[in-house]
Amino acid sequence: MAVIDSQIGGGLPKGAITELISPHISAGSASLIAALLQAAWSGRYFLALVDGRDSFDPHPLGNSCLRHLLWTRCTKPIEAIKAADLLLRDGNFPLVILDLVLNPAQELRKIPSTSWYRLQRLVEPTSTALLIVSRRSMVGSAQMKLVLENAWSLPTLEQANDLSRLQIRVQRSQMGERTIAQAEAS
Amino acid sequence: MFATIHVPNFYLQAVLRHQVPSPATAVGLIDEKNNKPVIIQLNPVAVTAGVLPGMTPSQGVGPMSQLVIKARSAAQEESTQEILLHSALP
Repeated sequence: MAVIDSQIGGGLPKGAITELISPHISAGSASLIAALLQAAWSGRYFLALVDGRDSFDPHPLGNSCLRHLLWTRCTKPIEAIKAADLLLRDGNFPLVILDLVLNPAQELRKIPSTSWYRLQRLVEPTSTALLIVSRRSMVGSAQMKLVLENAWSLPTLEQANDLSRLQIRVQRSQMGERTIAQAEAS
Repeated sequence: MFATIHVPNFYLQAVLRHQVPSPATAVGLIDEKNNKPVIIQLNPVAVTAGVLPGMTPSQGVGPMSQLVIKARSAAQEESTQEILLHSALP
């Protein structure tokens, strides 16, 4: 996806967790998920979306796009974590999205940090990219943390090609640090 | 002397004993303890729909999008076994 590629210097890392922080409403996380789905459709690969709050709206995407989606509808974060765990072990998806952006903060705080490390261990030996979308930073094992810096309004969404204006800031990238460390060591 | 009771799809039946699905529901059972959980037992609706043992849950929803995935439960298997033995040897 050109938007992500240009702003983070390449696609989402495989075999790693990327946390996408959407700090406020209308920051563009739903548009980004829709764009990832369209990319999956045009690239002819399958994508799994674990919907932590059963909030995904498939209607605007159309049936052809949805054929490439496994939509797991959950209501609680713990269910979503379990579903993501199962899908990562399933091993049939190049991209798994865990959307927890609308789950209440008090429920998310109950997720033990070991759960994130377990997901990291599961994704590490695979070629799957795990994207966790959240309201605030919480995934300690994320290799890359991205922050959406948008405040879109209705007029913005009515404009054509709104996704090209998506602003993503890289908050942390262990991948970059590793690359630098490797370069220094050599 | 001993007797054997053969219960087809015992693990699945143990799980469904207290959660009986509607007759039209396709159900597949996985063992979550496996590194790569695959479907190990199926009810007749799922078999008819083309779901096969050995498929992963995501592969299972290919032929049958309404497939319900259940996980094995050691506790329910144990209690079902006790009930069976009690019925067989009252």
